[in-house]
Amino acid sequence: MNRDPTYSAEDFQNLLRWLDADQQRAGEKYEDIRQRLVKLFAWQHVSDPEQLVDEVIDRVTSRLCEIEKTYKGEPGVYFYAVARNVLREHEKQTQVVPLEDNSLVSYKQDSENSRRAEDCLSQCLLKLPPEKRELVLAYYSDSKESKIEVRNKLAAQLGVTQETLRVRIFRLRLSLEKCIEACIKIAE
Amino acid sequence: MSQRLAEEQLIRRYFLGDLPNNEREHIQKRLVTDHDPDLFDTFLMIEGELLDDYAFGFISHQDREKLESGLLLSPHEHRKVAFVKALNQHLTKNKTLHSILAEPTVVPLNRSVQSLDQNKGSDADCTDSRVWQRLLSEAHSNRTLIQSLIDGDWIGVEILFELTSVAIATRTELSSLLERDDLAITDALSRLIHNGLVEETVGRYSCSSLGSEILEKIQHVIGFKA
Repeated sequence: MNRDPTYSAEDFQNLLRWLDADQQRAGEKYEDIRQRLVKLFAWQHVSDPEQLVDEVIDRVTSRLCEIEKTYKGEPGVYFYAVARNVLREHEKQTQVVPLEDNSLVSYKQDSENSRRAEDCLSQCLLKLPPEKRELVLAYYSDSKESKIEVRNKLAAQLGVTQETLRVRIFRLRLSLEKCIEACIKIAE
Repeated sequence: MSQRLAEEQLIRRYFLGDLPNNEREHIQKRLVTDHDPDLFDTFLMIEGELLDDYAFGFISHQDREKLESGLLLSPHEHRKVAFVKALNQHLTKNKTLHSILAEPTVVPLNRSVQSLDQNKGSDADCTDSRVWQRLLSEAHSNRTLIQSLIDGDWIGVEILFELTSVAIATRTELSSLLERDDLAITDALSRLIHNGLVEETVGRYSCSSLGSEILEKIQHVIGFKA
């Protein structure tokens, strides 16, 4: 869920300046911290990690005058400290719904979502260059028994190490996931 | 053990919820404060691989339970699992489609309903439900494939015919040859590509070998000679 920030555009500019004197690098650092915080919250079972990250950024931005006077360390460390507090408060307020309960309630929704995900995946695969599409399909198409064997063969075919293949698949997977997420948002 | 491998194992234990509190705190702090992009990527890579293994069933029962009572409580992770499952389904369907022509024991696309019914009889005697599941899955794939040919007033078949006669064509050329609007051609091409009947190389389309075989079958069934 999106929420309106409590800080002004000027406050936000000050935050960026605190992150780095260079505007472009500051923007990159902001995005980097934001992305990492989203993951931190998502991996702690937060249902809407983006919203909690907004809360962290709100708090840091609104206290920036004070922080700049008293805090001399890395901004990332400060963000982390605030994020921990926000997470603790969130955990006190929220009770985690067990997986089974979620599944039972939303069986129909799940099947619709999975159909939508499949349609979007097909579209996103088509957007990939043919060689990348073939690579991702080949990487995932192996059976349990031949998993290692097939991946060894793929790496040999491409003339790369297993580790390089793994990283290539990781990048491809990330771009596919982003594409699918955008496609699902449009479909909703 | 290399430092990288040790780090990967530590992250894996983090996702499985196997780390004691102090180590968990430490690794979470590094996640946010260590600006090494490789470390963040390693987190994402291990997360992805664990969820792949979960979705494809390549994980021990114990680890499956740990994921279900931990990492997978997050809706964010559910979406990632949905992605892998969609990929798995896509692969299964594509595999089935290509097996239609490759395996003589599998129901071919143009087999009559009568012979499918005969199959049903013999399979029903067999207690192995996997045969039926396979037949149903193939039927589903056949349906998708047929739809890609007949939807939009048989535009898919028309495109295949055109592509076999001109070998390669752009979307605009197809649109003009078939006197159909660009949108209809784009949609039909997407469906044909999705079903492996047409191939695209830098905006130029050609009939795939599967497309040619299907077209031959259609020509055979309707007694048409090009």
